[in-house]
Amino acid sequence: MNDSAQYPIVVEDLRMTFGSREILRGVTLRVRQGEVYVLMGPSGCGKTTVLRCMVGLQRPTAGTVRLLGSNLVELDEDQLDQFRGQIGMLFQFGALLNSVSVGDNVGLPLKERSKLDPATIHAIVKLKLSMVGLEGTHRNMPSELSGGMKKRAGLARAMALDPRLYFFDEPTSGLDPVTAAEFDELVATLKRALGMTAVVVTHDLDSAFRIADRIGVLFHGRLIAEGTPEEIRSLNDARIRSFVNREPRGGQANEQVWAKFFVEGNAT
Amino acid sequence: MDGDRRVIWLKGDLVRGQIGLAEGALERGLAGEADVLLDVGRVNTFDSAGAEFLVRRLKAAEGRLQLQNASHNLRSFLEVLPPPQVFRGEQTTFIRLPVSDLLVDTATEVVEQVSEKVRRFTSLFCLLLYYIFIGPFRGQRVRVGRLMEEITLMGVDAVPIVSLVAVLMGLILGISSGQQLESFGGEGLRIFSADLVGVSITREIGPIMTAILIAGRSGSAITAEIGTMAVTEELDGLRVMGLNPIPYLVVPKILGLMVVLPCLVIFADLVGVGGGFCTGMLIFGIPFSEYWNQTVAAITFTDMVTGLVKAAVFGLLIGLTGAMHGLMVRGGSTDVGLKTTSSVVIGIASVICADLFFTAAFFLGDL
Repeated sequence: MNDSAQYPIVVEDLRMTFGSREILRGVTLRVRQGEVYVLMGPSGCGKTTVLRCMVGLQRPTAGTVRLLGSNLVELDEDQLDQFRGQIGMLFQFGALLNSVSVGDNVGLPLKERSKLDPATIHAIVKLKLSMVGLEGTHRNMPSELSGGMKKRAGLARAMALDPRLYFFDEPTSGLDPVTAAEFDELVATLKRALGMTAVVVTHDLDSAFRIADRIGVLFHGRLIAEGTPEEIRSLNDARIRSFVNREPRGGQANEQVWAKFFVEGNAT
Repeated sequence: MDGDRRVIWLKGDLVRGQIGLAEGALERGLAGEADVLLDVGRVNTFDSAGAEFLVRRLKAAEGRLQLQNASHNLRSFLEVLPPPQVFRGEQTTFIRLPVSDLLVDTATEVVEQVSEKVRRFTSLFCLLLYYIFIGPFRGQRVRVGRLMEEITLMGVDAVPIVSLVAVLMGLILGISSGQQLESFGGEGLRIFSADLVGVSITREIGPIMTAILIAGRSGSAITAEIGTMAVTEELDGLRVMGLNPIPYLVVPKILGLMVVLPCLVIFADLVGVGGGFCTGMLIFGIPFSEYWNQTVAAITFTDMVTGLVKAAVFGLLIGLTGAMHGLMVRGGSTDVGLKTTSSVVIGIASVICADLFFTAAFFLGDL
C-alpha cells in the first residue's frame, strides 16, 4: 500500500494488439505522487492507447494498470464506474455533451455521483469554471465556445469531483501558441494549488518541456527513454533527437534514391 | 545517341487531361527492348496528375526509364514523393485465386457481420432488461427526467406527421374498400367498409405505419445522435466520469419509444378511422349514425389491445436497433451515415417481420 501512495499510477508490461498490428509492445512506467508525467512521441506511436488503457476505456491484451492500488484490468464495468470518481480525464476536443449547457456539463459528475443539492452544485460549478478562467459561461451551450474554451470547460468538468489523478489527451493540440501557453500556465497553477498527479499525452514539444516533471518517450509501442526534461534534451538517441529537434524522417535519403532517375542530356 | 536507348521528347503542358498522349508515346517507346530517356526539358508546366504519371511510369518500367533535363521545379516536386521502388530483373508472377475461395470468404464475412449484430442486439436487450427490472433495486437511478425529455421529443413532436399519414391511410382505405365492396354486391355492401377500415387500421395499418414513421424519424435520430457522440468522444467522456452510457443514454431512449409508440398508435387509430368516416359519409353517402354503429360493432377490444401490444414491441425493436447501430459507430462521419442507414433499414424490416409473427400467432390462436 505504501508503494501505491508513492506511485499512484503504475503500468506494467502493457501490450496491445489489434489483429496482427502490435500497438504496444510492453510499456512499463510509474508516476509519482504529485508529478506531471508527459508521454510524448510521434503520431501513431501508441501514446493515446496507453492513456485509454490507463483510464479503463480499453482493455490491454496483456499487462496491468494499477491506479491507487487497484488493478483496472481486473475490475468489471460496475467496479470501474465506481472507481472512476477518483480520476478526471480531459479529452482532445473536450468531449462536452453537446445537448446541455456548459454549467450542466461541469455539474454532471456532481449531479450523478454525489447527493449534493442543486444550489451547492451550482456554486461548485461556478467555482470550477472560474478556476479555468471561464466565469460567466455556465449558461452557454458548448457549440458557442471556441476550441480552447471547450478544452478549459472539459478541464473544469474533469476537476468537478476533485479527483486524485488527472489524465490529459493532447491538451494543447489545435490551440494557437498563446492559448497553448495559457493552458500550460493553468496546468502549472493547478499543480501548485491542488498537488495534482497527472499524465499528459502530447506531441507538442514546447508544452511538454514546460509542464513536465518527467517525460517518457514512446516510439513504436515501446518506451525508449524516460527522465526529466533536461535529461531527455541531452540524450543522444537519434530517434529522440530527430523528434525533439523536429527533423523530418529520411528527407535526405529520399533525394538520393530519386537521383538515379534523373539524367542531364544535351539540350535539343 | 546511344544505340540501345530511345529518347522521347515531351513538349508543352504535362497536366490533367493531357496525360493520355504522353502515355501512348511512352507505351510505344517501352514496347521494345531498349531503355528509354524521357526528355522533359521542354515541359512548361505540370501538375499532380503529371507527376503521378511520371512516378507510375518510372515504377512500371523497372529501371528502363529515366528522366532527362528535368527542370528544377519538377525535380523538387518529385523528390517530395516516395521514390519508385524498382525491382529490376525480377520475375513477376500472377496468382489467380480460385473463385470459390472468394465466395467462401465473402460468405464468411457476411455470416460474421450478421452474427455480430445478433450478438450485440441480444446483449443490449439483456442490459436493457437488467437496467429496467434489476438496476433500480441495486441502487441504480431511475432517470424519470431523461425519460420525459425523450417522450416529448419522440412522441409529442411526432403527432402531426403521424396524424397526417393516418388520416390519408383512412381515406385511401375507405375509398378503395367502398369501391371493391360495391363491385361485389352493390350499394348495400358499402357499409361494410366501416368494418374493413376499422379493423385493418386498429390491427395492422395503425401500428405498422406509425412504427415505420417512427423508425425513420426517431430510430435514425437515435443512431445518429449516439454515433456522433461516439465520434466526438462524448461517450468516452461519459464513461470516464463513471456514467455508463447504456443506463444514462440508451435506456431512456428505448423506454421512451416503448411508451410513445402505443400512444401514437391510439392517436393514429382514431384519426385513421376518422378518415374512413369522411369517405363513408362524403363519398358513399352513408349516414353518420349508421357508420358509427357499424364501426363500434366491428372493432373489438382485442383488436385495440393487439395493436397496442404490437406497438410497444415495435418501439422496443426500433429503439434497440437504433441504439445498437449508434454504439457500433467507429471512425468518423461516414460511418455515422452508414450506420444510420442500416439502422432504419433493419428497424423497418424487423418491425414487419415481428408483425408477421404477431399476425400468424393470433391467427393460429384463433383456430
